[in-house]
Amino acid sequence: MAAAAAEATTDGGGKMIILISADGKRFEVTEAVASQSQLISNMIEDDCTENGVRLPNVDGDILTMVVDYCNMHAGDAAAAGDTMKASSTEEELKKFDAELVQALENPVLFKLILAANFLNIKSLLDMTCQRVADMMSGKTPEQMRETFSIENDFTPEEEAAIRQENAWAFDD
Amino acid sequence: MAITSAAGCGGDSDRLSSLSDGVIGHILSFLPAKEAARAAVLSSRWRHTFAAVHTVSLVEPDAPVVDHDEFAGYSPGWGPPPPPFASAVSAALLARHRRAAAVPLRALRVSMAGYAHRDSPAVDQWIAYAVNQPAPDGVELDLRLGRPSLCHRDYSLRRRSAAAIDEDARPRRWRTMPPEDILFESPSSGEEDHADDEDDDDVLSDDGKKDPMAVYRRRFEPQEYSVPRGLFACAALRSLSLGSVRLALPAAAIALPSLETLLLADVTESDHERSMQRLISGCPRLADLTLEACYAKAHALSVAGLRRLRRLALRCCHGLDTVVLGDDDASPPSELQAFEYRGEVPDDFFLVTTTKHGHGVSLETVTVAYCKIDICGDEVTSRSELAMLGAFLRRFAGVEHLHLASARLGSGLHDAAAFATLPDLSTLRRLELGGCLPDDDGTIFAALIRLLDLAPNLEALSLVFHPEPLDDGDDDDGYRAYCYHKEEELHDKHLLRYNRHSVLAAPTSGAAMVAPACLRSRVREINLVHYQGGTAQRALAMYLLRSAAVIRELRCELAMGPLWIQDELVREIKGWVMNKAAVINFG
Repeated sequence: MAAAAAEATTDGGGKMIILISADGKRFEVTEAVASQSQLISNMIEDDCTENGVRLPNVDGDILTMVVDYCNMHAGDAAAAGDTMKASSTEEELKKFDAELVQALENPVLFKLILAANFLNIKSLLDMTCQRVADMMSGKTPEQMRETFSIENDFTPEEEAAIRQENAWAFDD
Repeated sequence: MAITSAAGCGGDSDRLSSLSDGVIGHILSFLPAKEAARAAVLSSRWRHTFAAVHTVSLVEPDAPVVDHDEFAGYSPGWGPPPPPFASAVSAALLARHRRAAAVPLRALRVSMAGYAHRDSPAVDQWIAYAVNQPAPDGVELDLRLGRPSLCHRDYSLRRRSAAAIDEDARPRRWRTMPPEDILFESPSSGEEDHADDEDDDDVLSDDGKKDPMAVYRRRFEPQEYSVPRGLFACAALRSLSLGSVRLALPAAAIALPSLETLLLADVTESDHERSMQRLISGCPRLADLTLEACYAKAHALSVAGLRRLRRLALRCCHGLDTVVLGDDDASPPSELQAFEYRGEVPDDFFLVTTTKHGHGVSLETVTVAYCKIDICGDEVTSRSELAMLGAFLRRFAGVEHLHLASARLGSGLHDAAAFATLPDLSTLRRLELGGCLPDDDGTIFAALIRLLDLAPNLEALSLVFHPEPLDDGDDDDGYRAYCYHKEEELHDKHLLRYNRHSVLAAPTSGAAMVAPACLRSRVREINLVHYQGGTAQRALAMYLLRSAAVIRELRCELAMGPLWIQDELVREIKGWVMNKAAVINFG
């Protein structure tokens, strides 16, 4: 198949793919980087990435973060050697991840979760979900509602019934 | 990275609840099952989210600490606490199915404080449950039915005056026998090599002294769970961890075609077969193998043929003499990345390949990126053992991350005569040393400088200072330190050992005058863990921080103690750091 306009070839020989965000921003990444997303990986296999990949439910600023993340992690997902970031060590990655996730505020964190879920990037989804779980951990239901602005639509009787139903979880 | 909340939604809208069931289930799967289930009361959206949880983890809380006045306080009624925990596990599994169909299970992790026979039907059910609803990419089962201590060989220092006199007279192999073999003579013991029998008597008396409770525990709690045989033919099992159980394998071949991770901790083999070996050999895809406090009847274990093995960890398997990495039909696993060992000093024939006639051939080199060697028990001082340790270390030439721990920090590496040839560490990037550094120590500088001189490319250095044993007397009497202390004394005794008037002596003689090249030009990161501020530790920290010209990051975790001492230590350390641009973190 002839290379279409949106495809370029880097010095390293990796094919390039264009990702297009909901607000029309374009990101050029190598196949190795992009295929950390299971969704895009499948598209690459099906040969339907030539005109760029439109991601109608991912904003530009979120996609920036996703692409940064994938660039950083390309080394451990792809076979070693054929990526530009192969030099990033495990420690650097850990540090990068920790800083990324710590910096996230609620609305951005949830958008990133949606993006990771949609693009099916397992490690990013795990990391962001773990962050939410950490925010929930050790809190009473009341505190959780406050943290995440969850509205309690139960009557006190209903709530008591659910507590009883799940007595095993409330006994300590 | 600019992070702004887009689209004008303040923090007020409930974005969490608007995620899909799958994502909410994924989030809750990171929490302990009880916490995840408690989310049901948040709102009607959350009422049935527990059915979307794919990982169920429950850890039984430890029983409250009972008075350490040991024998006097002992009563058979102690035992494991009454069993609401087992019912909680069953309730958690049931709760997934309260209304909608539950998502397939990715992992079931249960850690009990102590198993009793009455739990057996429940445990059977959990296993059957996990095996019967596996996720498409396999299921993980992690079942720990007890929490025994890793081993009874506590680290202990030899006072300098008593060095290396009768060390060689001690029996070298320390075999921790499983309870039955000691109390009830096991039928198979006759088949074992007879050299062991003399050791056994030794161990009984030694063990009895070391841990006075042991005899009682053996009497009253020989309650072991036998894993149902069906588990060992489960094609969906991706990861299996078993703790404090008995392995009774089916007579048919073991078939765990998907198993990638296997951990066996405190597992006993059934009487007359090499269950552990059979199990391991039945897992062709095994990538990660950990054996912890397991007594192998055969004293030998083979991982030959496990081509995908990436990590091998052996912790305190004191009966194990030989690990066969490869044989005539299979070369040693080429993908092995990490090797971890904890135990006594292994001899030349610990890691071997075999030839046709069953003879072990010591392996010249083991190529791994990460290597951890942790010598438990008494400090090693005898020349012969140090030489063995050196020979063992030498196999790991080419390692990138080396972790070395023992009773004394530096593990005796200063002894140039015993460690005549150390490995080439030119590939080493991270070095971690663990052990005690008491104030009367005179070896650490020589040991550390020898190591650093061999590692010109070292980038990160971590020193983990083990707390000193609480009793300062003779370490050889075998009793645990706490026997001599009342509870209040222990509370009063903090772990800092600071004396502001002591004189810090950095090495001034010979090679140490000039700091190793890596320290001057390569080391970017230094970690001091559980820093107690004793004179020797301060001298070492001063030397390192003053020499490390290009350090970018210093992390220092202080031992517990009064704030004013910690403050002084912090100030002192900050003053030593050569590179004022370095980031300094105290924990």
